[in-house]
Amino acid sequence: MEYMAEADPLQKKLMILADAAKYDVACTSSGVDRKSGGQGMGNSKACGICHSFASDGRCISLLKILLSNDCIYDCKYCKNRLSNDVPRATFTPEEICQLTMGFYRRNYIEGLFLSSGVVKNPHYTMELILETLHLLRDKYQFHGYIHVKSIPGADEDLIQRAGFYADRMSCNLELPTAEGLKKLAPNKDRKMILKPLRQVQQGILQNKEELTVYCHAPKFVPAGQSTQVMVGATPESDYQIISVAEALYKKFALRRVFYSAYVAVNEDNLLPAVDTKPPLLREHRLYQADWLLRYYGFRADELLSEQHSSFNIVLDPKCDWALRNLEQFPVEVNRASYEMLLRVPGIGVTGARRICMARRHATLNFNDLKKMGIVLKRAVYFITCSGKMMYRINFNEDAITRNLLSIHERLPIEVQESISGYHQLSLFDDSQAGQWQIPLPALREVVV
Amino acid sequence: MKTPRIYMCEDSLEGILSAVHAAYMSRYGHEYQSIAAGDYVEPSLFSEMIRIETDVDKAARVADAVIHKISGYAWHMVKYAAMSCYMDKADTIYRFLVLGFRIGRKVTEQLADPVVNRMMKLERGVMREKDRFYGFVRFRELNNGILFAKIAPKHHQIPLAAEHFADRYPMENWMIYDERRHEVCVHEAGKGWWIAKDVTPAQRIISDVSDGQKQFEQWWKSFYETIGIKERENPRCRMNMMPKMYWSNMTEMMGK
Repeated sequence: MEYMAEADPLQKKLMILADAAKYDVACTSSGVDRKSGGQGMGNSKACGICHSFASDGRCISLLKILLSNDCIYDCKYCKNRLSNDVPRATFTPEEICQLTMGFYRRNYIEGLFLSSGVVKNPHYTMELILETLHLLRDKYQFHGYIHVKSIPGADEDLIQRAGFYADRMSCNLELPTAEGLKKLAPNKDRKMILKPLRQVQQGILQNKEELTVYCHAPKFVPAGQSTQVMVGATPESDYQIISVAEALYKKFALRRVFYSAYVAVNEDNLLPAVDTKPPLLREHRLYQADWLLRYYGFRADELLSEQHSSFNIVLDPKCDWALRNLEQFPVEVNRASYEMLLRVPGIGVTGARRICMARRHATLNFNDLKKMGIVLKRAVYFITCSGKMMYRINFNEDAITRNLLSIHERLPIEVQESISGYHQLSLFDDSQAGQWQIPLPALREVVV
Repeated sequence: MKTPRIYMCEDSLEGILSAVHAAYMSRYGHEYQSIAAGDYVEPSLFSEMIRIETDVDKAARVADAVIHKISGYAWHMVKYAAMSCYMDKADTIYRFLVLGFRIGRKVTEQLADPVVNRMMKLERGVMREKDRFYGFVRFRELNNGILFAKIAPKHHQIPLAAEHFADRYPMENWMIYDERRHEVCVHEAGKGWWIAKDVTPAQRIISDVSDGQKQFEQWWKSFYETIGIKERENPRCRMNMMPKMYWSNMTEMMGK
C-alpha cells in the first residue's frame, strides 16, 4: 500500500479499516422512519437510501468501517486474523464521530456501520463501540442510521445499552453450520454467536410491549437484526444454507440473512485455494431463494431437498420449482389466489398485487398484463387468461424447460462473467458437498 | 364539428391545474380540448390555441376536488406526474381527472386503462428518480459555512428534495441548485425553505470551498476507492445503479 505514504494519519486509518470492513455485505439503511424534529442532524427513511455505488456495483449507504482490526482471534477465513501480517489500526470514538458527522453533513452517507475486530477482549471492544454511539447520539445529536455489531462474548448489559442507541444490530454467523465454524474459527463457537442474537430478539419483543403502553418509550433496535453467512468457504450444500436461513427467520425473527461469496484471502489447507474465484452464481441463487422465503411464501424444503440439495445452475429457483410442480399450473390469472400468483415464475409481489387490483374492474387479457408491466417472458408458460394460454404451448416439462432455457436469463453482470468458470466449480462443489455432508438433524438442533 | 382547443399553460402543477379548471369551466366538451404545458407547444393549424395564466386559487380548488371527490392517492399521482419531464404529462393529467371525476376513487386501480396506465408510468418515473436521487446529492461547504449542492435531475425534483433535506439538516444553511431548470432552493438554519426560479449562482462564490471541505473530499474519495472489492469489480452494474448523468455532480465520481 505504497500510496498511503503521503496520506494524513486519519486517512491512513480510514483506508485500513474500511478495507478491513469491505467484506461485510450488509449496507442497508432501511427499516426506520425517523424525523430530525428540527434539532441536531439527520433523519432516517424506512426505504433506505443508497448514496453511491462502489466499483464492484454494491451500494454504499453507510460509512462502513471497523473500529479496530487489531484482533485477538485467529479465524482462518479472515484477513485480519491474528497470524496475518497486515497493517493494524484502531479509531478513537472521537475520530469516528468526526468522520461520520462530516460525511453525513455533505450527504455522502446515510449513517454509520460500525463493526470491529476483538481488541483485548469482547467487553473492552463493546465498551469502545458503546462510547462511540453515545458520543454520536448524545453529544453530536446525530439522528441518522446506525448499524452496529454486537460482539459475541461481550457483557449483556453493554449490548443492551448499545441497542438503545442503534437502529440495527447484527451478529455474523460466518459459517452456516456449527461444525464449519469450529473448524475455521477456533476462538468462536456457535452458541456464543447465537447468544447476543437471542438477547436482542428478546429485547425487541419486550420493547414492543413497552411501546404499546408508553408510545415515547426509547426504541430498542427498531430496524431489527441481521446476520451474514459465507458461501463457499466450507462445503455445506445450498439446502443446508437455506434451511439455516429459514430457521433464523422463524426462530430469531431476523430481518435479513446476507450471503457472501467467499473471497479467498488466506492460504490454508482447510479453505479453497487463494486463486479460487468467489462463487458468485451460487450467492445469486441463494439471494433469489432468500427472497422466495421472505416474500413469496415458499418453504426451504419446497425449493430443495436432501436429494436435490443444490440450486439449478441454469434456472432460477422459482422456475425450477414450477417445473417440478407442473401439476399446479397453468393458473388462471383472473381467478387464482394472490398466494398462487406469487408462485408463478415472472410474477413478483408488485405484479401480483397489481393483478389482484386490476381484475376487480375488468377481465384481464395478456395485453392488459403487458401494459401493467407484468413481464410475460417466463409467466406465459404458466398462466391462462380467461382459460386460454397466450399461444399454443406443448404443456410438458421438457418443452417448457427448453423454452425457458432459450430465454436469456438476465444475471447480474459479475455473475455472467464468472459463469464459465462456475460450471466446473459447481461440479467440484457438488462432489465435495457429498463428502462433507453433515446429517441434517444435527443442523436443526444447532439452530434451535 | 367543433374546432379543437389547446390550452397552453405554465409547466408547473399550479399551471396545469389552472388549465384543467379552465377546460372544465368552458363546457366545450372534453373530447375537443387538450392541455399542453411548457414554453414550447407544437403549433397546430386546425386548432384554437388558448393561453392560460396560472391562478393559484383555481388550482387549489381543483386540488381540493381531486382529494375529496377522487382520493388522496389520485392527488399524489397528479402531483408527481406534474413533475415529470415528459411532454404529454399535462394532457394525461387532464384525461385522468376527467375519468376520475366520473368514476371516483377506483380510477387509480384501473391499471389496464391507457390513461391511468400512462399516469402510473409518469408517477413512477418521478418516484424512481426521487428514490435514488436523494442519495446522489453532494453538498460542498463554502467558505462562508453554507452547504451548496448542484443537481441536474431528469425530472423536476427540487420541491421533493427540499422537504427531505429540510428535515435532514434543520440546523444548517444550505442551497440546492438545479442546473437544468435554473431553480434554487434556499434553507436557513432553524427556519423554513423557499424556492427561487430563474437564477444562476455566481461561479466565484460557489467554487470558493472551505479547507475542511477539501479534507473531507479527500477522505471520502479514499474511502470510496477502498470499499470496493477488487475480485468483484463490475463497472456495468455500477453504471446501471448510478447512471453516468449524475456523475458530474458527485464528489467521488468527478473526473471518471
